[in-house]
This record gives sequence, C-alpha cells and structure tokens, in this order.
Amino acid sequence: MIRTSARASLLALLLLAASSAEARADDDIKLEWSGRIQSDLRFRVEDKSIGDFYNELRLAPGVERNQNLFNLKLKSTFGRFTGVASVDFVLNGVTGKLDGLGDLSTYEKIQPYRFEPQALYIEGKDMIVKGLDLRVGHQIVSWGVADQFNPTNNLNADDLRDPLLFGRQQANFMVKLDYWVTKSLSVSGVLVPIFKPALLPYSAALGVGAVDRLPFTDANLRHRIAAETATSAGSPIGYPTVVSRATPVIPDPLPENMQVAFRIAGTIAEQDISLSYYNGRTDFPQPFLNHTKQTAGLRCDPNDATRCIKGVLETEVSLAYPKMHVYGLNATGEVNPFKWISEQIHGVGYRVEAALVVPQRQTLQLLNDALSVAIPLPAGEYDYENDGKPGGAQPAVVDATAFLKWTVGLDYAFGDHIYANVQWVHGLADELGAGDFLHEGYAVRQSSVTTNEADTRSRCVLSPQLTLLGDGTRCAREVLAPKLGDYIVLGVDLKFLDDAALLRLFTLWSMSGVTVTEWSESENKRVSRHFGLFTKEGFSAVLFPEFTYNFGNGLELGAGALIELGRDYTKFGDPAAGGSTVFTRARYSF
Amino acid sequence: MTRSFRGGLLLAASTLALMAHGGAARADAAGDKALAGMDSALNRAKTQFFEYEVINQEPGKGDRKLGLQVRLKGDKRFTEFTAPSDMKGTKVLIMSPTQMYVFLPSFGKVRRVASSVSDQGFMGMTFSQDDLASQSYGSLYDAKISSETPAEYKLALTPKAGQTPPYARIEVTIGKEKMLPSELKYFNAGGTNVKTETRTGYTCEGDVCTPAELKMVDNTKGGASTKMIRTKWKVNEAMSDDLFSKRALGE
Repeated sequence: MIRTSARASLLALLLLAASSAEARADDDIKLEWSGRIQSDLRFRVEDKSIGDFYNELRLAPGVERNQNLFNLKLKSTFGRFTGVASVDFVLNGVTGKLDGLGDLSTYEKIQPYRFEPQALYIEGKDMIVKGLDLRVGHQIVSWGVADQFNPTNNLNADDLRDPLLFGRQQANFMVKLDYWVTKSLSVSGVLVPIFKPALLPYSAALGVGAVDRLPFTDANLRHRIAAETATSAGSPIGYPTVVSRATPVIPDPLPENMQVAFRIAGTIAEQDISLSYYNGRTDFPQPFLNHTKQTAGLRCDPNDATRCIKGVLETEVSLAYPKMHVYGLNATGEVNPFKWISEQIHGVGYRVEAALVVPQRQTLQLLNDALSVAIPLPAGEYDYENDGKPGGAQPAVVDATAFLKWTVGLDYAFGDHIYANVQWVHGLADELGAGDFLHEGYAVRQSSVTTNEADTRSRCVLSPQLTLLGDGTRCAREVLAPKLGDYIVLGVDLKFLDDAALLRLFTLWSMSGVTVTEWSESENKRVSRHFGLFTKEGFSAVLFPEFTYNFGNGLELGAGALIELGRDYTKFGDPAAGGSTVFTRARYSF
Repeated sequence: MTRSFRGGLLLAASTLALMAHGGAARADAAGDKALAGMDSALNRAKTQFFEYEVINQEPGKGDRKLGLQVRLKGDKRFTEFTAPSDMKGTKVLIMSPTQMYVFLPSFGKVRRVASSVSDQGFMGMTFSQDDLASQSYGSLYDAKISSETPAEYKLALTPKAGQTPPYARIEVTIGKEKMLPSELKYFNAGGTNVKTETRTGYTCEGDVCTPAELKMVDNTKGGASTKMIRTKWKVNEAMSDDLFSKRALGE
C-alpha cells in the first residue's frame, strides 16, 4: 500500500512538474469552485423483518434517513492541466446506539458526521505527444452508455447506500491514459492499484438473517443441507442455524490484485461504438468459508412460549471477491424508423451495453467445531460427497461458466413536455454467475422442507442405523430465481410550469418471476412450478414517483416515494432491499 | 436514476438552445432574394464565441437567470452553462442535428442525447429549440415582400411545398443596411401570433454582425419573455476542431 501510494505521489509530482514547466505559455490559471447543500428526510412506511425470534433483524417504520450534505468542488485549470477536488461533508441526523453516559459528552456520537472525497485528481492533456491525456488520482471512470444499469462499469465499485441514487459508483485511485488517435477515435488504459468493494445499503445487513438462501450451485447439496438444517432446528434437537458474523476479506494490495482495463472507442456513421476489456474482481462479496459452532442456551419465543430452542448453530461466514474478466460492448446513437411518416418525427435514442463475464470459480468450505445435534459430529469439514469421509471436492457458489449481462434501452421526447425511457436489463449489479434463459442456473430465494420433522429426519437425514442419508430430494422445497434476472425499466418525465416543475415516474419490473420446486408424492419426483410477473407469488417491482420544483438560481425542492413491491423472497420485496420509503429533499447549489 | 435522467432531459433542452438562430424561400422573386440576403448575412462568420446572460421573465414572478457560453464553427456547436449554479459546468456538444452529447458534471459522464430531446424547452425559456437552432430560413420558407420602406423590408414567410417547419407563417422585418432581422413574428396554423422576437443593438466585426440582445415574447403565456443579453463576442478566432469533440466535453 505504501509503495503504491508512493508511486502515485511520484506520478502526481511528475505531472505537476510537467504542468508548471509547460503551462506557462498557455492560458492564465483559472480557479472555479462550486458546491451544494442538500437536506434529505425519509420515512420508512412499512415494517420489514427477517429471521425467527432467535435471530430476527428488523427495520422498523419511522425516520429512515435524515441527512444533511455539504459538497464543495474546486477545479483549477492552467492551460492543458487541471486539478479537481470534491468533498462531501455529511451530517447524519439519526443518532446511533449509545454505549454509555460518556457518549452523551461526545458530539460525533450524538451528531454523527463524516467526510467523503468524491474526486481528487490531476489531469494533463497532450502529454508528451499530441492526443495523449493522463489523469491520476481519485476518480470515476464510466464507460457504460446505458442509464444507471451498467454491466461494463467495473473499474469503480458500486455505491448502493442510497437506493434513490441507484447506479452511483464510488471514486477510487486510478491512473488513466487516453490516446486520441483522431477526434472521434480513442484508445484508453486504466490501472487500479487497490481494489475497493461495493458499499451496500445498511438494510443489506438483513441478508445475514436469510440463512435459507443456500448459495451452492449444486441442487442436491442444497436439498440435503436444507433437510439437515430443518432437522437440527426442529424438535427434539432444537438447534437452528444462524449467521453470527459475516466478514468480507479484501484482497491484499499486491501487484497480482491490481485491476486493469482497456477500451477502444470510436464513432462510425454517427453511432458511438466501443469495445472494452476488464481484468479485476466483482465488487459484491461471495462466501468462501463457513465455520459453525454449537452454542447452548434455552430460549423461547416471547410471543409463543411453546416455541423454544436449546441453542443455535452459530455460523461465521467469510466473504471474498472472485476475480473475473469482462469483455464489453457499448453502442449508442439514434435510429429513425418513422421518418417516412413525417419529417417532424425525430430519431429514437438507443443504448446497448453488453458484458461477457468470465468469472473465477469460487467454492465454499464448510467447517465445524464438534457438534452434538442429530448425531455427534467431530470437529472438521463437512462431508460434501456423503461418502462417510469429511471433506471432498468443495462445492461451488460461483461457476466458471461465462455469462452475458446487458442493458438495451430506448428513449424519446414527445414534444415539449414528455420524455420516455425504456430499458431491458439482463442481470443487475449484484447478480453474478451463469443462470438465465441461455444457461440454466438459479439463485435460491427461499428454502424449507415440506415434510414434518419426523419425516424429514427419517426420509432425508438419518437412517434407522443413525447414519446420515445425505439426500434431501424428498423433503426440500425451494423458491428459485434465475441467477441473472430480466428487468424492464419504464420511465416517464413530465415537465410543466415553464419547465420548473418535473413529475417523474420510473418503474422497475422483475420479469423473471420465481420457480418453486418440491417433491411430488403423486409423481414420485421433484416438480417445478413457475410464477411469472403477473402472479402474486412472482410479482416484484419498484415504483419511483417523484416531484421536483426548481425555483431557479440554484434552489430545488422535491418529494417522492420509493415503493418496493413483492413477497419477502422476491428481488424487491426482500427486507434486505430496505422496504418502501417516502422522501423529501431540498437542494441549493451555488 | 433521478439525476441521470434529469440530466438527459436538460441536455436535450440545452442542445436545442445551443443551435440557435435561422430560416426562408419563394413566393415572389424579390422576397426570396431578400430572404437569401438575410440568410447570407446571418452565416458569414467561420467561428463565433458568445457569452449570454439569459433572463426569463414571467408576469408576477421573479426573474430566473441562466448563463451560457456558446462556440460555433460551421454546423457544430459547443455550449457550456455558467449559471444557474445547479447547471454550471454542464456542456452540450452538437456535432450534427442527429449527433449530440451532454456532459453532466455531477456524474462526470458524457451522455449521448437523441435529437427528439431537441423538441423540449429549457428552464422556462420562451425560445424553443427550433427558434434557437434556426440560422437559415430559405430552405424551409418561401418569402413575399409585404411592405417596403427605404430602410426596411417586411417579408411574409410561408412553408415551402413539402416542408414542415415549426411555424405556419413568419413575418420578418429586415434592415436593409445590414440585411439582418430586427423583428420576427411567429404564427401558428390558426393564424395567431404566438411569439414575437426582437433583435436589437447589432454590432459588427468586419462583415459579421450580431445583436446585442435577443428577446422573445410568448403571447400565449401572458407576455412571458426571455432576454438573451450578449456579454462577450468574438468572431473568427481560431477554434481547433478538437474543441468540438467528446474529448473536449470531458470524456
């Protein structure tokens, strides 16, 4: 880390030295500054919770966010050279948990605040040779042409803390070189020395409560573990599994962990086309190690004294960021299929952004301390192959199979007041791994057993000789969704009152639905039923209405709602998505 | 999502605004000749740089101000907003009527914008995108001299056959000395004078003359108006083609 920082500093100094020597002949130095003050107040309007009484995580209705932000941006230009610094100061009105009376004397405990650098870089144009541009520092490199859903924007990690700003990314230190071969043809290379993970919304913490969302790609293993966990949780054992900790493991700052990307971009017949390549990592964590221990402790449901457990199987999960190669294609421009009807019909804007992702296979190792549940299990590794020997080939949570993500969008403005945008998104930012209509593969949204405790134990977990059966086929029930979902974005803007007022409705619809698989006694096999968008089981959508009024001279007020619909196991009904909120916002720019 | 899409809309609007100035054709030879003379006078410069202070005025409401820097070279336009503060730093590049880009500083991203966005207004300006884009009228309109004095022509412009320009009729007053328009009255298909534009305070650099102030009154909105006050102007200064590129936008 120190060496990388030193290299960056050296580069920056060289650039500054070059700029001071060469820029004298250019324009005068120009210093521009700007900023904004923004106040956000949001309310969660529904109760969202996950887990049972022994591991419940809850988002209660009430003030979801009371955030005040001050941004200051400085830009200095001296001829061909530029330096940019932009910093957010964020004051969070929601006080966190206090640890004691001492916290009442600590301002930052009562009024939490933080600084976030949004940009800090220097840039030189026509460095050494004409057309060669260099930018060094904390920056965002955004090559994707789609709106908000960008499978080829992999250099910067996502910043998903604010769902209203979906698609936002966090700046990171980079060295970026662009060479402009012609006015409309460029070749770019980027080096990112230090990997940064995605920033997640705080509601994502509820995800650890969903212990039933088994991540394995092998369905048989999932069924088996679903039956075993149901048995250990049920009577008479009474030891449900909980996740006590999830620890992301960031790659070491080693040369082999640096990210690189290249792009060639040009314009052909007024259509902008680019090809890109990225070698780095996914910024969303995947589990690679589970360690389980047994913790005794009798507890009963406060609302039902007959529901008790004897303890829990505490699992600590370690998460990693698998490597991946991404080959990208971006194309944007406009087409006019209706010009023959009238000259007054304009072209329709289009955006195509596609990524061929080749991920590194990631497996999940399951370790346990000595357990005394259905049968005593010694400390060691899980018997993946059910051959009576611990260990074996570790199961995959991400296959090495290549897969495609894409966003295809159209937009058009109807007259003075209406703008419409539609996009087909195949694979959201947090979706990783092959699994769609091109290549079967599923993510588990919910799992359970359909059999009672005794039947689960006898049919799927334990033989009469008290050996593990290792086959949950006849017991497990799963709600599945494709690993890569299909989503439709429909959005409309309506401007009125001389463009000062903007009424916007953007919506996001999950088109994939869910598939329920379970054992059928009548057919003597597992059967699947699909529930599409227009069923209550498969329905999942986001509605995002917003009204803003621009008073001019930098002042804007707005209000709206983010409504997340669907059952708890669906993409947007998921409690970890945060639940529906209403919001107000005031912004003054200067 | 919000800011990006909004940015797209604003871009479209600003794009149209950048294309400012224009239009004409044939009903009598003298009228067409006068219109051709005006078109020629409007398009003499190889490059131009403008700074405008834009003031939107609505009866009963306070003024709303915009600031623009506009660079013109041939059909290409590069515009940067200097005010209001929430738009400051936004840049719009028009390479052609069907190739337009916007740079949104809050996103640090260059976004391609479809030409349909050019139908949209911007920040309440009474100039439509087409009003601002028009630099040459003769290709769209036939012209007839409706009256003439020693100092002025008054032309009535009507759409050429096969053309569908934004207005059903324009009445243009042209000063004979410079052959430049001082007033344009725009009419809809119903014959209503929907807007009136005045161009005043012409100054010249060589044979290139531009107005110091443009004002558009929207007669359908209770007299709401937009004034564009030229605060800086440079003619035929060297402008590299590189300036009219995505690189210059900040990509």
